[in-house]
Parts: sequence; C-alpha cells; structure tokens
Amino acid sequence: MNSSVNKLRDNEFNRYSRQIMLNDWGEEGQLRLKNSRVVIVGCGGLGSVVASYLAGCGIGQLSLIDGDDVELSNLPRQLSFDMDSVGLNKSDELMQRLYAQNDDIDITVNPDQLDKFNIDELLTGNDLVLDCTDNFDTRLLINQWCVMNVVPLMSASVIGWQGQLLLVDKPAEHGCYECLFGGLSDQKANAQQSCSTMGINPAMVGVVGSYQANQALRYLLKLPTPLSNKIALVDGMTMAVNLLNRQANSQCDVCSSIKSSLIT
Amino acid sequence: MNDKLPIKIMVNQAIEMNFIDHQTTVKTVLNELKIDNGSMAVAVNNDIIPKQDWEQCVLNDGDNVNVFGAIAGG
Ligand SMILES: [Zn+2]
Repeated sequence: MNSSVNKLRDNEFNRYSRQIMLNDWGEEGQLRLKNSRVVIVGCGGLGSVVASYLAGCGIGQLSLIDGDDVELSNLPRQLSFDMDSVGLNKSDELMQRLYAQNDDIDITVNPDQLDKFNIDELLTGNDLVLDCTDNFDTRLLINQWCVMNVVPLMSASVIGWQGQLLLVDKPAEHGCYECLFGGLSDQKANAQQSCSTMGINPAMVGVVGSYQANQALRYLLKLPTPLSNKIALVDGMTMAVNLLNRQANSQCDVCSSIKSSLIT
Repeated sequence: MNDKLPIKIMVNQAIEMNFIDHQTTVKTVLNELKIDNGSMAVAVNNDIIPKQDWEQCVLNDGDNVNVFGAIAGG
C-alpha cells in the first residue's frame, strides 16, 4: 500500500497557496488531503462539479465510477464535457479533464455501473464515498455497503430546483440514508425521481455539487460539518437551506441488520 | 391556552393549517394533505420524526412541519 506523505513540494505550496493560507487549513490540512482517498460514484452533474474541486484542491487519490456515456442532453449542466465528449464514457472523459487541471494527483477510472458484484472491489480502501448517482437502487446499495463496512458516505441529490445533502458517518447515533427515507426499495413509483424523468435546472447541480465538495473538504480536513447529524434541504427557488436534525431509526432494515450481525 | 381555539401548524414554510383537535398528530397532517406516506420524511421544528412515531407525535400550536421526499437525480 501507499505510505503517507509528510511534506509538500515547492510547486505544491505554490499551487495550493490560497487554501493553505486559511487558518484552519494550513500545510497540515493540505497533507491530509494529499493522503486522502475519495471515490465519486456517478460522474454526471454533481460528480463532475465535486470532482473538479477535489482534484483542483489536491486530493491524493480520486476514483471515478460511471458506466454511462455522455449525451447531448447532459451538456447544459455537466460542464466537464463538451460536444466532442458525446458518445464517450463519462468517467474516462472526466479523468482527462481533471488531469489537464492537475496532474499531481492519482485518478483511477471505472467505466462500469456500480452493482452488488463489483461494489467491494470499487469502494474498499476509501476514506470517503461521494454518492452522486441518479437512481435510488444504486443509492440504497451504496448506503448499505457503507454502513456495513463502516466507511463514511456523503450523499447528494438534485431534482428540479431542489437539492439534498447528508453525511452518514455515525449511523448508530444519527442514522443512515435508509433510516431517513425507510422503505424506499419498496417504492417503485419513487424510482422515477431522476433528472431524466423530472427535469432539472442545470445551475442546481453547481449549487449542490459545490456544497457537497465544500463539506467533503471540511470532513477530510477533520473540520466540523453540520451534515454528520443533519440533512440539508437546498431550495434553489428561495435560496433557503434547511438543516434538519437526523436520528437513527430503530426500524431501519440496514442498521438493524448490522446490529444483528454483531450479536451473532 | 384556550382549548377552544384551533392550533396553527405551518407546513414547509408555505401552508398554514388550523386544527380544532388538540390531539392532531404528524399522521393527521399527512392525511389531511393527502400525502402518500411511502418514502416521505417528516421533521417537526427541525427534528426528523421516524415514520413509526408519526401516529404518536402530537403537534402543538405554532409547530413548523417539514415534509419532503427523497430525490435521486445527480
Ligand atoms: Zn439506518
């Protein structure tokens, strides 16, 4: 495995100087980022925004997962892609864009859909999982895997003029994604709440993706984030951000399966 | 306060609802709004209330209720 780095090079001090000068960031914080491993599931609207900031900020190892190809209807909001990208895999295209931005980091690409067969291989070893996917089945799968494997998950989603953000890192206290929305897997009608069926204001992926990147950086820098015990509801119509207090749900299937596996 | 006066509940900072019954619960509000309970989440005064507690969670005059569903777009 990679050993952690404990010094920045001159060009890194130069490149990251504007963030290192922040009081609660500093060289120590920058080294934390350099020694971090983050996986981004979904390289569409949210994923490409988050990835650009994390790559730009110097996260040491990024992995990108997306089995979809770029479509013309993605271009209004997925700013890492241009017309030449149409028909090409999103994670491959995004990697090339990110390397042009910063070749000081390592990027791994997985041009496959995440599923129960490859999830162990693709998510293991990361310090943080960022859910930027576009469907409930994958969201539930990622949540379940992260809770079972005790890997922190920051989940973001958008639709229309609305966004949602939460961090699942202490599910026993503050609950997981399933604790919050319970029974989503049974709600096939709800499986339609995606950009392709409900529509989206392109700028909302910028708003919510930027919040996700901002709080992911705070988490990796070991700075407090309200998202570990709250869900943020972002309203693009009124500019209101509602922070609601989460709690573990004693009837959550995911959390209770962990408990029972610990007992046996 | 006076038992005869209706209690006032604000839903999603937009809908004002009045109830004569002082035992109004989260479940009553959802039924009144004809919201399918399915995959919705509810917060009262910014605290999320687990689904199994909706029927027991009695609302007070002036409570703010947030009702929202999961969204999947990315
Ligand atoms: Zn749970």
